[in-house]
Amino acid sequence: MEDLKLELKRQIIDVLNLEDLQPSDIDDAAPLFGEGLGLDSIDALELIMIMDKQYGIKFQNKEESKAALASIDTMAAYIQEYRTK
Amino acid sequence: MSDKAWSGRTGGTRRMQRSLIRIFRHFPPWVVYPIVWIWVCFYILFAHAGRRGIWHYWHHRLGYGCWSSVVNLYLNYLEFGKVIMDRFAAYAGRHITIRVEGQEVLDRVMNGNSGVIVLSTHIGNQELAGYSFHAPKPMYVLSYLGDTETVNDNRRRKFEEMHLHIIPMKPDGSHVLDMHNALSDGNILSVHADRLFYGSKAVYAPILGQEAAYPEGPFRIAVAEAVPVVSLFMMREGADTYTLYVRQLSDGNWEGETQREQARTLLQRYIAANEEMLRKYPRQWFHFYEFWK
Repeated sequence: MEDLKLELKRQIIDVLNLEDLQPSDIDDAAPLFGEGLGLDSIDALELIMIMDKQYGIKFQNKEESKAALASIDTMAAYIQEYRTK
Repeated sequence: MSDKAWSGRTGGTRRMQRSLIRIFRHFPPWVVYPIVWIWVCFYILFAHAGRRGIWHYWHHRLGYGCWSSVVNLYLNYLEFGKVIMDRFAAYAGRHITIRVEGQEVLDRVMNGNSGVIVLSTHIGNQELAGYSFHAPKPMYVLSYLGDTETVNDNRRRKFEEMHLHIIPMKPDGSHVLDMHNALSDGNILSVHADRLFYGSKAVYAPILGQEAAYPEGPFRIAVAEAVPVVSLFMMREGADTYTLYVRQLSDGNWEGETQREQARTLLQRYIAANEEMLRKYPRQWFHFYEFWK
């Protein structure tokens, strides 16, 4: 699980071009949107694409995607349960 | 230009809009042109913000003299009035003759297996482009549903007839999931790329020699999804007659730059295509507000 969280943080930093951040700067439980990392809806699309292309997870429901992408913790838990890749 | 969200609505009461559709079921749009000539005069007199924006376009951006700008300001509004009438004529089911320039590009891009993004614009009659374009695969349109009830009802009905699917724009940005799903299933996605909605993040780039704000989203999404990108311009030639120009902005293969730089390159190509159309059809610029900073 910890390896998966680290992998996720590295992918987020890379895809969103967050060059000033290290994986250790991102709190596992902190919200990714709003007051946490401050990501916006286009960044959400990048996270949706990570889930789709890297882990074979395709969201059909907005509420479900919102809950799954809330933090590194929720992303990792969702991937562990539903990954197809 | 302001960064505030757009809240555009088609003018006229519900009864007026329904009457137009009834009239166009039996008569061509030109029968109401005398009313449009007069309506445009009142509109120019009382729509201050729009008037200032169009004056800026003609006088400062295109460099026309004062009198020439006044005449063209009127003709610009008049052209818009005719385009609106054509839109209601389309709602009424009237036939519009369309010549296509770039059919081979359209066929190549639309018949591929990957998704396609259409970056649309407020130049020419964009809505008519959607109605007259017979896509070989499902087409999704990211749509602002803040217009009048009559326009939205007819838009929905026309979309259903043409097998177009609406993705409603949401203030929380949750529509990005539907956009991604449409593209990853190999469908066509049409997005307005020259207007800011719900305070969307802006990027600045020059058009006609001065910087203006564009929404960052459509360009970043196009680059992130790595799909072909086209712009379609439906330009009015005369009563019931249009030319559809197809311009390919990307084949979806991006190399050597960061995603933000790629999005910037795409924006510049989009603006170049817009400028090309404005040189050919300067009176079909339909941004009735201060577009520039």
